[in-house]
Amino acid sequence: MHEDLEALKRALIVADMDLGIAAVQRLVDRDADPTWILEEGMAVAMFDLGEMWKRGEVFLPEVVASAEVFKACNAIVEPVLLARKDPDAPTNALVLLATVKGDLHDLGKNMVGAMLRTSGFDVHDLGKDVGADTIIQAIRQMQPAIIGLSALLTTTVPYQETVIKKLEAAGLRDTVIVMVGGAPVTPEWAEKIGADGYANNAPEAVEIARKLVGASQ
Amino acid sequence: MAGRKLEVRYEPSGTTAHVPPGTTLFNAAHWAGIPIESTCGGRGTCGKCKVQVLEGHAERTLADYRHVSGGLDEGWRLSCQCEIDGDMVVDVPRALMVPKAATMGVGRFVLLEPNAVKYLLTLTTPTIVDARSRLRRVIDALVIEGLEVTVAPSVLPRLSAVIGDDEVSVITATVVGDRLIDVENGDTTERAFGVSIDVGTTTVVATLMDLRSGGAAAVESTINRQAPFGADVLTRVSHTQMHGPEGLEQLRAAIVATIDGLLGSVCATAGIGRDDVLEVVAAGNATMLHLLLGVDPESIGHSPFIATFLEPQDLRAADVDVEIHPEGRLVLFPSIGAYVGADIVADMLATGVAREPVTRLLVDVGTNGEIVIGNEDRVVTTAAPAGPAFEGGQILHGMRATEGAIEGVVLDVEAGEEGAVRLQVIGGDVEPLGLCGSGLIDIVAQLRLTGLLDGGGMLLSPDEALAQEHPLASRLQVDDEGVRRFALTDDVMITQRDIRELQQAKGAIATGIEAAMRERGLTVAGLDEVLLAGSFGTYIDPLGARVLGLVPPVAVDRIRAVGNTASEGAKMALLSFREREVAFELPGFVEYLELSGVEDFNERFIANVGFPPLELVRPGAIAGDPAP
Repeated sequence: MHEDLEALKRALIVADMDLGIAAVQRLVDRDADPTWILEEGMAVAMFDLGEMWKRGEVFLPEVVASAEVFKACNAIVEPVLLARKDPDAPTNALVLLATVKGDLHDLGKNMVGAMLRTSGFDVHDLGKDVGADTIIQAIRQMQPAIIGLSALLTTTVPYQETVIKKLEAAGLRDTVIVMVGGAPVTPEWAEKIGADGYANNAPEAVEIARKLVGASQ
Repeated sequence: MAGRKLEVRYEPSGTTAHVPPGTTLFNAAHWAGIPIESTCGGRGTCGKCKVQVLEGHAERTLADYRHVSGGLDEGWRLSCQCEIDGDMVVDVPRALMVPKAATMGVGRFVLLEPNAVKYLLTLTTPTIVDARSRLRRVIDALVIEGLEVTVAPSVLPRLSAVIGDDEVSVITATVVGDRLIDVENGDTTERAFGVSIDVGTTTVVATLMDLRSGGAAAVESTINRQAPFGADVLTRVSHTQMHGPEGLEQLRAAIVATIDGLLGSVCATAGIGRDDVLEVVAAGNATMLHLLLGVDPESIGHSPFIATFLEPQDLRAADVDVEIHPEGRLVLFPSIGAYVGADIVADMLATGVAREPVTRLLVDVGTNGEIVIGNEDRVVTTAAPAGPAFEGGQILHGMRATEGAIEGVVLDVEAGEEGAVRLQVIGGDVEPLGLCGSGLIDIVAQLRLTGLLDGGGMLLSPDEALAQEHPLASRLQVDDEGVRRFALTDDVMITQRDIRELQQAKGAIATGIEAAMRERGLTVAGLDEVLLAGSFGTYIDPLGARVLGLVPPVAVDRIRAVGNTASEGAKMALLSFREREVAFELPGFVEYLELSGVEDFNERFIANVGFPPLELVRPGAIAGDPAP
């Protein structure tokens, strides 16, 4: 089974759809623990992909292709996981994503969404050019664990702070984890505006989201 | 989108112009590059621009009755008053196809018809029977020159000092547009200057032009003093966002000081006074022009990207602290959109993209890549967010194109270890300090051509290169963090991450080009020429640009670096009010495509970060490439 797990990881990293599906199917057929497949296989591959991204060894087309394979493999593992799950166990954490008002860039946000979905989060994407009022309304309705705010322009980054302030004013700040990202965003900025988390890239966002959700539970 | 065009054929040359209804015969002729003489500037007063309408309808105007009464039935009209409302054939008398001109821009022929002109006037001695006022004498003398002027109030107190009451007075009258702004004793007509300015985010270029000769008297460029507030347009906008009116004033003062420094310097070089500069014509991106006038560019910074003004401006230079002649004018080119600015309109004026049947793609490569595509029938423009890579930003050893920057690279796998990496460094025989944009494009293209970089943008590992016995294998390294890199020298590297930044930048521009071509209904086969504009464009190797897929795959000799055409366009508008009118009309003709509104931008962008297959772009791959 370890061989299949290694094959799965490799397939995810090189974005080989056929190989990935075959490996995950073999694992499921042989009754492998779905949690083990997810955590020791897919999550590790995700982490490796993140490291490769940082070194420039994979780029946008590769990551997008890998995300597709992740999605397909997850579709095979998830039903097994759900079937085995204790019905009283907590459901997947919900993440809301939005590109902030004034900003139309959504490539990075979409990648974060795809990666989070493949990693066991439920994701609801509010889209781009999203104002604070829409975000607040969505948080009230959906009660997500995390709100992720993306901004790609130097001029729209300040709106992340606007959203946080409005969350405070609405008395919602303590109910939700705020993560920020986007090319001009820095860890210092995230700290300055009181965000809970910052990630430099999509795989890292998954890592941080996991940590933050784990810590809050 | 564009309305119906009417065709005018000008005989005897047979040149045709396609223009919107309502354009005058005079302007259409100019648009088509047929010079027709005029001294009044198309105001219908000098009567010099008569042409004969051979076919088509031509309304008779009051000015026609005044100036061409005898020839009306034969179709003679003042071309500056005759609006085109149907297809026409017109004969232009050879004598009108005129005089002083200069070749400017990209091989464009510009008639010297500056908006600011000094007239030498001889005023007769006043007598008891000719007791016209001093002002009336000047106005009357200008009417004889074909001018009807308004008078700047500052002229009045000067009149008595300049015009005596018992003698013949020889004076020089300075007219800008249709406004008399100055009178001087004697003949000062040789001192008539204008300055064109390209207000770049990074660099500002000023050219002092002699309005009489059409020649450049001095050129100077300098770093925009706004630079400390941020490297690109968005960080400047963000400065006003964060610091309010005070931040705006800082930026305004910085650009005014930059321009003031340049004005002082070009005037000193040419040995003239500030008062001798009658006009400044400026082009630049919309944000720079907002800041120059002290207008908050805040809303340009975010969707829906609204500018406060895109329209051309003509104001008293002194009102915005630009110190030239006290009544001198500052004229700003119009912009097409928040991110396709006046500099691109100037590019278009200088290159003739919207005026000729040749289909061209013009790319101004910088933090924002502006893209213009089309010909006389239709032009589409867009702007692609390339990011800072081409200006050395986000690149480990990136730097601006200053001394010590590697601006050109050749990797020669035939040469031995020693000669394998040949560098061209700005400043000549100096220590290479880093890579500027053109060097970056060169090295990546060369890595690609020598097989060290795959189509996805991945460098070979040192082991892979060794296994292939690649002659440059020893140049490949892996740093402490496991990042692959290629050593240009012991100290200057290009890393795998740098290559990713470049891919992102060129992918954005390639996607913009693709979207504009699609919008324009063009394929690569329909492109006659690719022009690389902007100061950076001058230094880009056409082959390198093609190998990277920064420009579409056309023959190398159809890719031309045309230099700082924004400056050229501003100069043309300074020397010819007619060219200026053409420029002012361009935004009404050109279509603007907002790239962030393009449906499948993300997918296309991702597809465009890779490099085109080598067999399609390597030297000799395309018919028409120069022989190796």
